[in-house]
Amino acid sequence: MRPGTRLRNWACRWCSKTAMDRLIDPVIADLQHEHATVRGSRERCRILVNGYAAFLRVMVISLAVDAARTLHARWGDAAIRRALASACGVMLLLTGLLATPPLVQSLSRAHQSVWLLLFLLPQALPLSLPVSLLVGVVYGLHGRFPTRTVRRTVVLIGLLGSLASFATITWLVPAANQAFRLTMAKSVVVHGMNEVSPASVREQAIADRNDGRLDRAGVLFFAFHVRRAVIGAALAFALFGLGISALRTRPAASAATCLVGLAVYVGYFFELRSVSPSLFSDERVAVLLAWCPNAVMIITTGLFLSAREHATGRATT
Amino acid sequence: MSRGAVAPTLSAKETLILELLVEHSEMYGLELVAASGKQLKRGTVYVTLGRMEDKGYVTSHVEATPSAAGGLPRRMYVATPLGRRLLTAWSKLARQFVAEFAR
Repeated sequence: MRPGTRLRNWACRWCSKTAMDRLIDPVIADLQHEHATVRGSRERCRILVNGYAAFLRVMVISLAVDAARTLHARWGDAAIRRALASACGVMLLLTGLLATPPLVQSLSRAHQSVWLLLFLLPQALPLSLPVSLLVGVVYGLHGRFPTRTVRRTVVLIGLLGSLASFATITWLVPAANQAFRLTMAKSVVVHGMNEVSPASVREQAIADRNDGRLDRAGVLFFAFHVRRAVIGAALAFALFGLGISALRTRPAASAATCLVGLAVYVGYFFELRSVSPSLFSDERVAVLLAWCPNAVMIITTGLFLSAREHATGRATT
Repeated sequence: MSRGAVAPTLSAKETLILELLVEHSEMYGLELVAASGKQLKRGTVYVTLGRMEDKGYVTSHVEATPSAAGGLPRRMYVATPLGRRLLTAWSKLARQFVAEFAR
C-alpha cells in the first residue's frame, strides 16, 4: 500500500468533495510521488514525517472551513440548537458552582463580591466548558446517526470551545487571578505560577531544568502541558459526546457513560499527583501523561462510532 | 473607480505563486514550495492555491499522464490571463510605490 492511502480513506469520511479534490488529494499525491522518487530509508522517513505534518495541517484547515459552512447551514437544525442551548445552560450552572466555594471563602476577608466573582469566573471556565460540551452534545444529538454533517458540526463546536479555552487560559486566567490576589491583599503582590501565561511557565521550567532543579522543573512542565491538554479537552469531550450519542443507549445509560468518563478523567489527574515530579522534567513524559486522557477519549469515540456503523450496516443487510 | 467596485488585490504569497507560475508555465504544489526557497509551506500552499482558484487567478487540472512513480495523479496549476494581468499591474504599482517613497 502506498503511503497516505489509509489517511486519504480516513479523510474521505470527514471532508467534502471539494476539499478532497483541492486540498487532501494534492497533498497525498505529492507525498506518494516524493516518497517513490527518493532513495534511502532515512530520506524516505523524513519525507513521510513532513508529508504527514502537511496532511495534518491541511486537514485541520479544511475541517474548520467545512464545519463553519456546515454550522451556518445547519443553524436551523433543532438538534444542534438544542445541543448548544443545553451546553450554555450547563456551562453557566457549573461555572457558578465552581466559583461559589472560593467566593464564599473570600467574602469574609473582602466585601467586593461582584468584583471577586468576576475574577473567579475565568478559572472555572476551562473546566466547565468541556463538561458542558459533553452534556450538550449527548443531550442534543442523542440517538441520532452521526452523519458526516453531524460530525463536522460537532468538530467545529469542539474547535470553537478549544479556541475559547485557549484565550481564557492564556490571557484571561492569569490576569483575573492576579487581580483577585491584589483585591484580597490590597497591596502589590508578586506573580505566582497561576498568575503568569503558560509560555512563561514553560520558560521557567526550562531554566530550572538547566540549573538542575529537576523537581521544580517537573512541576512546571506538567503544569504547562496540563493547561495545553485542558485546551484540547473541549474538542475531546465534544467528540466523546458524539460517540456516546451515537451508541443509541437509554438516556440513563448515556448519562452513566458520561459520568464514568468524567470520573476516569478527573481521577487520572488526581492519581498523577502521587507521581514524583522529577519524572516530568523530561518534557516528553509530561506531554504524554498530560495528553493521555484526551487521546483515550478520542480513541473511545472512534470505537463507539465504528460500533454504531457496524450495527447500522448489519440492520440494513 | 465606482463606489461599489472592489479592486482585486494580491497578498505576498499570491504574488510569489503567480510569479513562479508565470516563469514556469505549469507547476504542482510541492514544486512551488521547493522553488519558493522556504517562503511557501507545504501545509498551506494548497489552501492559498484553492483561494486563488476561487478568485480566478489560477486554474488547475489533474496531470494527464500519471507519474512514473505511480500513486495518485498530481494537481498541476497554471496562471490564468486574469492572474497574469493582475501580476503585471501589481508589480508596476509596487515599483511606482517604491520609487515614490525612495525620493
